[in-house]
Amino acid sequence: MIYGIGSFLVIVFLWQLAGMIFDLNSTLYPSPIDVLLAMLDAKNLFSDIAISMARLIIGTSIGVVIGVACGLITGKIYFADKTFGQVSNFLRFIPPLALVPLFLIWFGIGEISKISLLFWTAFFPVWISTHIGIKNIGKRFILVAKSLKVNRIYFIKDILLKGSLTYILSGSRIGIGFGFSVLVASEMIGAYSGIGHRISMIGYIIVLGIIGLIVDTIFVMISKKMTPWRTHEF
Amino acid sequence: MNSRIIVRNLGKKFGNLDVLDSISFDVINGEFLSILGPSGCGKTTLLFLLQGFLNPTKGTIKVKGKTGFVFQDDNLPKWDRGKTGFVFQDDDLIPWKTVKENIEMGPKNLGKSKSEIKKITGKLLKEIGMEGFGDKYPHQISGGMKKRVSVARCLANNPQIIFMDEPFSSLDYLTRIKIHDFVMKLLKKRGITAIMVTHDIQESLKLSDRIVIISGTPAKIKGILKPEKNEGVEQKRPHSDIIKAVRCQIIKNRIQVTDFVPKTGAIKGTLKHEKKEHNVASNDYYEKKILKLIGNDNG
Repeated sequence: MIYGIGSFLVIVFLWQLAGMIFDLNSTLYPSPIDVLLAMLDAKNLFSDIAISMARLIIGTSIGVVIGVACGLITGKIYFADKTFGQVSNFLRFIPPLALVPLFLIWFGIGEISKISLLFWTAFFPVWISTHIGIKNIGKRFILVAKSLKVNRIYFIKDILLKGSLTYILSGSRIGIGFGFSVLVASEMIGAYSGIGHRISMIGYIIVLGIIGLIVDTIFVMISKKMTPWRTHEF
Repeated sequence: MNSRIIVRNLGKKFGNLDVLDSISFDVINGEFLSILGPSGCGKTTLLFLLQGFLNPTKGTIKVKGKTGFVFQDDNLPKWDRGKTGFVFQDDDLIPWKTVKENIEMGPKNLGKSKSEIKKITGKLLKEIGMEGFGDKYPHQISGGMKKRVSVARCLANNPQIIFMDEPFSSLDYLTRIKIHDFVMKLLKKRGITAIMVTHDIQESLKLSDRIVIISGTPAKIKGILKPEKNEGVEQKRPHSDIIKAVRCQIIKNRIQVTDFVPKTGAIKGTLKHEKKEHNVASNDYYEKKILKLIGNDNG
């Protein structure tokens, strides 16, 4: 962590130094101090962050829940894998950014379009991770559960879902990462609020990076707490 | 004969591959039965059929439950809920559950109360000598410990039968000897019927009351052995001594040999020891017999 903060400070210092040495135009190439002052002046910073985060959380959460459910079905039911699974495989190769204009036309400039895009972004990595997670649960563990005659709810919750939890969390992490790009793109084109709407300011780009870092750190911490049995790092 | 399971004319095919054919034997209540055969001959398939993991292609498996012998239309043995346990060859503890949670799986699913589950788990952890390890995950304990937990998990449901698929093959020799004694004590104490699949002749001779020998393609029963246990004699007089001294004993007429292989000293006969007669047989004797039965069918 110390190394991380140290490198960050070195970059900021070099940036400031470059502005001073080369006497750059502060409108086009603002220094870190200029950016900081501008951000302190920004009236809507916190409300923009709150709105963007709310969109991200809602859209991604829906994507995770439905992705897990679909992964569970395609991972466990051969017929579902060969039908729905194949359709989803085709859809997952459509980049969410390509859908931004289309979703804005279909669902309007309001919240539905952005949340739908974030859902789409999170759904596929989570679905495919859950699917692989379920497939990778050792056959002997399934047979152990069978020999102990565990009930259906226990089997789904404690064997299938818990057994693929590390995969689900990895998929969700990827989904959140992609979600940031899609969020900004959708807010840039069709929104009156949010970080993406004001991303033309360098300060907002930096804020976005910092938020991403914080979200990822929190997510990894929660993931570690949720999976104390794992033998690998996230 | 107090049979627990009756297997008649059992056969199993996977597509065109005939794995098992004409398998018939009984499992007696409380016995330790080994199914012995070369690798890949269909032993695990037979065990899976007995447990009900697979459907037989032909034949019947009748299981004695609460209501006597039951046979289902779909050819699956109908076990009373929670009355069987299964120990697998590989590490079979659920990795995302602690030792305690693994043991709790059975009782939890049988609808036992929290206090009952706690009592059962606590008692079993004590019995397997792992009281301080309840909150550990499987990757944090040794191979021998894992095997003990695996057996304890089966026992938590108070089963009548335990199926074991080469349960000790992944353990080192010293741990295996310890676990043999440990498992035998637990099973005998509870009067549990055990069916174990193995390819280790010495292991099957050591543990089993009877040995079903299968081999061939499709696998068929080549013989059912009932090894003499030599109990009481071995402890007072090491078995190897008997074999070394066999010629001397024959001369003194203290061993009446019914079968003797001079080259290896493998014997079967009656030993007079401290005015008592004991049926004795060396493991060598059975090993030769088993190898002869298996022949060159698999390998």
